[in-house]
Amino acid sequence: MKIKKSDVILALIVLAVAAVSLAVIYMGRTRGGKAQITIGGEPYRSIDLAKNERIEIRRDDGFNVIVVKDGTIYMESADCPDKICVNHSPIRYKGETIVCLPHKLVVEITDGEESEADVVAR
Amino acid sequence: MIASLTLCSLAGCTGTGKAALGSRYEASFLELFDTVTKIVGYAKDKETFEGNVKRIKDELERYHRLFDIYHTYEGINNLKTVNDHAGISPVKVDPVVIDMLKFAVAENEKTNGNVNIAFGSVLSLWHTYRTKGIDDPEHAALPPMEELLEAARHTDIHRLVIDESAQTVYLDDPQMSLDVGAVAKGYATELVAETLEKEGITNLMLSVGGNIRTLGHKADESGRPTDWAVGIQNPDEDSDEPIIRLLSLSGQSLVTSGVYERYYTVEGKNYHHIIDPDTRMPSTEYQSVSILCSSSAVADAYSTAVFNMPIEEGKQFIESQPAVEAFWVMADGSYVSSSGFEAYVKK
Repeated sequence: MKIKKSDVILALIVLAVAAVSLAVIYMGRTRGGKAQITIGGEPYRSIDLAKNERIEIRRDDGFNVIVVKDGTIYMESADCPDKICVNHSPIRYKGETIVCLPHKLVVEITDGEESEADVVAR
Repeated sequence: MIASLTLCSLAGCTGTGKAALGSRYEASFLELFDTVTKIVGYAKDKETFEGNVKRIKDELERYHRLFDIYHTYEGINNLKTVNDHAGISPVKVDPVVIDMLKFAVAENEKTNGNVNIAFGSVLSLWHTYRTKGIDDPEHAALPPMEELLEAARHTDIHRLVIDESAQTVYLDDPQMSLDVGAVAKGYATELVAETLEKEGITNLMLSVGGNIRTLGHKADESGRPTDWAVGIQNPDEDSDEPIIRLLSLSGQSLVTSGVYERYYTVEGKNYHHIIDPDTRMPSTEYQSVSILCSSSAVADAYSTAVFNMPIEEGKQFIESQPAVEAFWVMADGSYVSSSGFEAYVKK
């Protein structure tokens, strides 16, 4: 079978469309990720999950260290008594939260990929 | 396919589901039961939803105060009052406290003692050692067995004396104390859910610290009513998958007891907070146990009780209960389901 020039062009177009689509999906995922930190119900700061960083929050009632890594966010350490926030696995899906109850601190994913669950039993 | 996916991710693909159910709203608060309460619901407008949230919060707060074992509130006798009067005198309490305690005693009998609200002395010993161990990991220690055994001498639920005609509660052992951590949250959640159902407020989902109770339906992308999608937390924190099972629920409750949330480490080994009444130690058989049934009160109590049962006993127990299902994550990471559980897994 002889490969025609038009076949090659068609193949290239298909590949190009696929590559662009994948790139858009990929960027959509990593770019779309946003999180919000609130303390005592007041917005503290918003976070772009595409940028890895380490956020140290020191206040009168204690400290929390929050880490953004590869589109996820987690509590690296805290001086609260139960460490439930530190034990929480990293979050990435819209609506997921990590709560440090003793410090009234909430990290919530405000924008990003939708989770398939409305809520999670834990 | 790729192109349609792309369009979808660009557009966001999130219908808010207007039409029959109204719009979707969410609210959460941190003040009650030492945990996070989350409410997702449908209402015709924001004011209606906020009104529903206020109703829920007010009622939950009433139970929170009545069932609280740590704090005293002016003008009410709660379970702390009852604990403080152990061996001294009966305490007159709100009828809802009597009902909750009677429920807890009945569940204790039904589960062969595997959930015991009279276990306060042992639980507080673990709580003390856990808190110290987290604060100072290098010197983290287990409670000595002689102390645990001594504490366990004061955990006889039959010495909880409930006088229904006088509406009083009395602990007939000065060293005994109530700890309703395995029961109160679920019981309160169920009462609130039943109030809402009675008043025709439906299409709503309550999560009180991860204890889930669903009412009615949610809307799918085109606004049609569909079941709520409720996940079970993956106990493996290093996994990329946060959820190990996704269930379709409408009107049911799902409660999980797991080892991964509240624990401390002694000499490289983790010790969680669910203490087996028989051994006075954390059970090592499971990573988590989830219970699915209509009542959030029952789901909460059973999730602790079944966690404290060996797998064969737990399976037998669940199969003997009508319309109760369970899902175990074993210590080695394998899964076990009760006979009717898989029917709820989302297709």
